[in-house]
Amino acid sequence: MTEEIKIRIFSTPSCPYCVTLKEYLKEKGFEYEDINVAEDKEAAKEMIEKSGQMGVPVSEIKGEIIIGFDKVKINKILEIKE
Amino acid sequence: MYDLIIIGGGPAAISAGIYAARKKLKTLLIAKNWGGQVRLSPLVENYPGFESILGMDLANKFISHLKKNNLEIKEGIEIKEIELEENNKVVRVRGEKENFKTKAIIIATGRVPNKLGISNEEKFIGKGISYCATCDAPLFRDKKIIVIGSGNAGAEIAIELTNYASEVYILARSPGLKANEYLQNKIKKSSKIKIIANALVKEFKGDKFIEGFIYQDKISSKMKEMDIQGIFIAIGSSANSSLVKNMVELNKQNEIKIDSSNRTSQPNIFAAGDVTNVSHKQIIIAAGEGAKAALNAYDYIKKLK
Repeated sequence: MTEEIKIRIFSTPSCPYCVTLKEYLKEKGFEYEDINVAEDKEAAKEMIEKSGQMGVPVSEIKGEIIIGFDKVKINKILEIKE
Repeated sequence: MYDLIIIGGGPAAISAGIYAARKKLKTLLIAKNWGGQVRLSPLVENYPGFESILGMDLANKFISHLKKNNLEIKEGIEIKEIELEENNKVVRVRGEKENFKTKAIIIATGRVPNKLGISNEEKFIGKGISYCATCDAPLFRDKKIIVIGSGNAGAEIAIELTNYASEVYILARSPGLKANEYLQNKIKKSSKIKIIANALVKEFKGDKFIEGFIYQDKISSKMKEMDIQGIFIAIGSSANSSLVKNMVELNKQNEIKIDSSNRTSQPNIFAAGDVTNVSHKQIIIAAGEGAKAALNAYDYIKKLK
């Protein structure tokens, strides 16, 4: 069985970097779980605890926490070559 | 080599991209992030065709419209440097790793929020300090928040925050709010918002997250400390023109000087939208300016052949 890459994006609907990050992953053909922390209070808490960050976006990819749209780090973890 | 590179992701850049693609220019649009100032405005009620639309919804419509056109798009790339080569005939654009060559360029990089300039401000960005209420407001549920800045932006943010925060304070340097009457009336009606006037922020306090701040009362000159769990800073914005500051003429506000054809002082560098000295920073104006810049860049490129 091939291992499915687990991507979780903690975001709010209106933040520019969140949208750019999601557009980028879509374009590269990755699926992700889109977690709206504006609606989901528990997820907001989880995000702040895991990242030490009170700003979106935060992503969790293969267990690693990425703050903001850190393209270099995301490319590395997902082995995206541009 | 590209005919045209457009730098930016707001209405000016997006509109320029649509027009350039329709003129069949070999175009690359590079957006660090999408939406520009549009996305930061909670509600847009002055863009024809949309009586009332969320800023983010309008921005999403712009982006999907752009992507229906035939041009190359790179998103999430920050341009570090722009250089002129081959007797200033070619523009080279450098990112962290990549670089591109083009005959002409449109700078539509918009504006960046001003910072207070307090020593530990950077340390608390994302740790309780935010410049983007539409992004981060929901994370401050049931918290005591201060908004620094008493203009329209500060007032709008304070009103938005009442949906989440337990208490909202507006800190004004001036004796009162500078926001328009409509917003001031809304604030008066809200039991959650209080105003601290004649105040100068001096220092932020906290360990991992922001916990409080010190301000000076301008009347008594006394220093006062206040516990707080979140700070939104809305003290205006500046033109994001640093990429070309040594290549084209800027005005005193660091806005790129353009003529009525969006030309800068350098013939192959065009500029559009909020980064320029065009009067009134509005979505409709930025979009129009972007279209104009693309059409004038097209004329310039055609003459090269």
